[in-house]
Amino acid sequence: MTNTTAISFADKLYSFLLFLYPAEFRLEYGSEMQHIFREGYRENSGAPIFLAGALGDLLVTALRQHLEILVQDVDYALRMLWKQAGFTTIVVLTLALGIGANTAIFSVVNTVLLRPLPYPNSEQLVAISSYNQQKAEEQRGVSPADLLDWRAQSSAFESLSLYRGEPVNLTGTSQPQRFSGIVTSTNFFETLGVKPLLGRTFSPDEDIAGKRQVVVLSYALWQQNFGGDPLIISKTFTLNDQPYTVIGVMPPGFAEPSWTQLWLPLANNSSELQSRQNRYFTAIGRLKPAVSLEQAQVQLDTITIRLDRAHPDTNHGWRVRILSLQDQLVGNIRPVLLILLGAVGCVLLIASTNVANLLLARTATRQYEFAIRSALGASQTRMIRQLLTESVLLALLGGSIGVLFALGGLQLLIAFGPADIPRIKEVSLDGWVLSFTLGISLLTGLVFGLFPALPLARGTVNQTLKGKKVGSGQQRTRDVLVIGETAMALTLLAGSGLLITSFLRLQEVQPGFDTHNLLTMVLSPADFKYPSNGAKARFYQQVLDNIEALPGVTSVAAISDTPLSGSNLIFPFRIREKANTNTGDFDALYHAISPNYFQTMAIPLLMGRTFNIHDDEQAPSVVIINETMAHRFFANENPIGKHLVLDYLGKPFAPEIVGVVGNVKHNGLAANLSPEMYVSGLQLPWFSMTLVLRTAMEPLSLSTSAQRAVWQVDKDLPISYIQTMEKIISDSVAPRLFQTLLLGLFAGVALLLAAVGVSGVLFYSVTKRTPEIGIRLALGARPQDIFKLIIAQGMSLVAIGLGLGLIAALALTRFLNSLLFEVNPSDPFTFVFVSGLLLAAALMACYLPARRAMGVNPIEAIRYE
Amino acid sequence: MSEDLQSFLPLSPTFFHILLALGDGTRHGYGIMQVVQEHTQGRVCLGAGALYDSIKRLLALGFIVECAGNEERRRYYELTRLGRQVTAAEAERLAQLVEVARSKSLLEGI
Repeated sequence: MTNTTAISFADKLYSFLLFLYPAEFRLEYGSEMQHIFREGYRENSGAPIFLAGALGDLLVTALRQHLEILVQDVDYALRMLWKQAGFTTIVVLTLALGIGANTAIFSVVNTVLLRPLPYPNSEQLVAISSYNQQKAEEQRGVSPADLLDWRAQSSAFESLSLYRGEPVNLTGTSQPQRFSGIVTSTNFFETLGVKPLLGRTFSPDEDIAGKRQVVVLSYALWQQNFGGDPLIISKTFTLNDQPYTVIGVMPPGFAEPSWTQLWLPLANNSSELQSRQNRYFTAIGRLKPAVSLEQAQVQLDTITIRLDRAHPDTNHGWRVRILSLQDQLVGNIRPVLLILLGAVGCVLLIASTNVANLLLARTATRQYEFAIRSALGASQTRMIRQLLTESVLLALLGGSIGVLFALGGLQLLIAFGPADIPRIKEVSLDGWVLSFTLGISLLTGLVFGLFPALPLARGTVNQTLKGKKVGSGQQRTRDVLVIGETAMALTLLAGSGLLITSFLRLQEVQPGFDTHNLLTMVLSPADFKYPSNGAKARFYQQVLDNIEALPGVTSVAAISDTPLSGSNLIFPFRIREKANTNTGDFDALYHAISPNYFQTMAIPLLMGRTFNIHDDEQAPSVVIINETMAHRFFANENPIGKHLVLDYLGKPFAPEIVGVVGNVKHNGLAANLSPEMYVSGLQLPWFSMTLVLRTAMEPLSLSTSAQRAVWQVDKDLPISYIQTMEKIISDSVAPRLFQTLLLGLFAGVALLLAAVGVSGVLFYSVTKRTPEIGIRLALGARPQDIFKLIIAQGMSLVAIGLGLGLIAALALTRFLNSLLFEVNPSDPFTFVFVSGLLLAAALMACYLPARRAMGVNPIEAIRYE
Repeated sequence: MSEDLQSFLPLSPTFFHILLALGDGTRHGYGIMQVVQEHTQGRVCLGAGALYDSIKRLLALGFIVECAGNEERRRYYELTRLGRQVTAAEAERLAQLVEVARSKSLLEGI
């Protein structure tokens, strides 16, 4: 009994596995093989070794049969494609465009979003930032004092380190220079797990003040400024007027954060370490191997609540957020990249649709070929397989050329893309990208190959030999494809239209000052040369006087940080006249300015007065606030005469408000307005100030004479970032411009492809309908009627596609919200505009086929039938 | 003619076994398998897949053809004239090699 069950089971298994063979082979020999298997099975009384042998034999020969067919099909397909070289070229290039664009964008996504950071066990690396919901503070750094408490009280971290930027002046060489440095805790490199290329990194005791001061250089700085000197270790340079000894050079490609040129240890006695309000440090940590991000978050939550209770004046409401270092780095760019990936995906779909339509038309012309093959015994599946082999081959050819396109496109992307895309320099076509390309090529080939293969599957071909024409089914497929690609093109147009509208709105934003003919340059005087505020103030005054005297300079001023430059200083303060307020309850952007800053920048004075040269150290301290600050903190009162109380680097400072000025878009054209305060640079000059020169001529033409004027006062002074305000503004919108251009490019390609698709389908239809058109003309229809008929046929498809596209766009554009500026994701103007654009393009696409239809000669058309 | 036959040689062992099995009459697939086993004392045991893979090729080469047989439902094969010639040529080729081996006393103990 069991024996018969086993026999019947093995029998069924075998007959099931026979389906692995190509249909022809199975139909021809399947039952014979089954017979042999059954006999053999019985003879060997079901020995497992027999079963294994039989199955192995089956698998190997099935594979061989398939390979045999594949070789035949590929051979045949290559000959077909070669014969129709024009057709092949068009299809391959269309696909190469779509696949190439996808490969390029995916390689960016792959590197930036998917590839782990180049550090050992990088998944353990986290970034910690603070936020305070009560103060509407979304994202701040952390203070060193808080971090020391976390380090002491949390068991989740293997190490925690912190850093902040530090401009570094190199002097004593031929030309004074300024570098972007990082001041960091000594365990910084251990946290990341990177080893130096030369020398060593910091030892734990190198944060002790007064010990020999040391510096680690980046590879790029070592190469560019020190000529890759192999003996650089132990050499000493003057940085920020102190002797520093080079102890190490990091390997190429390592820069954390990305703009860093050198690293210095943070002195352990620095006054910055004391205050919990110094939330301007970046904290990174390495989690212990078994600890998850969530566990670490829970621990830090407990500790921050404890700190909140213990230090309510500084820590009230402050919480922390832990993100993986990778998320922290790429979080902002992720939506942009995913949207772009979606957009190129659409472009590929549209390209594939066109190819499917072309193949469909070609299949129609090949009907006789298939009918004859069918008559000669080829099965339907065999012919479908042949067609799919051809389309996959086309897609693979397209994919190979697409990879070349992608290589070129990536060079452009890296060259012209904004530098602020993290890790953009690492982008390359690696194995993952090539697998992705292979995958989408195969998928594309299979999907668009299915459309022309469908009529075969329906058996319509067999009717061909009987003299029947292909039915309306194929025309319907074609129509659906046109509707689909029109809808996708509209969706992309709507998305890029919204970005363009945003960008135009952004261009209209008033920055709050006159941006024309302004030259800026950053001065970084050495602290030891100008130790007191008075000395600094006199230095700046002298520089300003020198430059003011230059021909071509209308006016000159200085500010600690220019608008839109990306740097900002935020100072907590309280208002003396308001009881029950603590320092730290409010904060505002802080700027130190020279007296005629507002006049130079053309920022309007709204109330009170501006500074003058008498607002110096001897005079009572004064402050000017912006309109937003006046509204927010002095809603129904006169701010003039009130006093702010600030903590200025450990010293209390209580200036009187003497004026209110207009708002400036300090944090970017798209950013919200912030409260801002301006103090007199003659009272509290900032270490490094930016000069702003209003010029009567092309601003950059003055840069040499202005530098010379500065060096007349101090020949060792590093001058950096010499640029026009217009350049600063265009840099500040460069990422947005880049997104807009890229999405616009994809939408443009989509529109073009869709128009070509509509045109192609109509041409084909006109050819098919030539006899019908001939009859209509013979029966008295005027050529204009025919013209209208064809236009109506095309436009009715487009109209359906447009409608579907509008629905899709309305559903999808909300994902763009984070990239939009003052535009609703369903902005009616944009939607109407892009619909109009699509209709216009579609009309043009219908025009040529309609013209051809008009020109049909009725007599010839009917004879042709 | 014999020049043409040479171009088919040497035959793959599987081909040769199948052709030999058909040397004395028509057989169906299972029959071929059994005879091959018999000829080789069970050392060569063709799988069903390998057998029909080879049969398909031999048909394409024109060495064998399908023919009528005893059992209605089974498919029978027989050698064509070409198949017979090729088999003979292969056998002769092998026989010559055996002769060489014998002349060098390599087959002593057999």
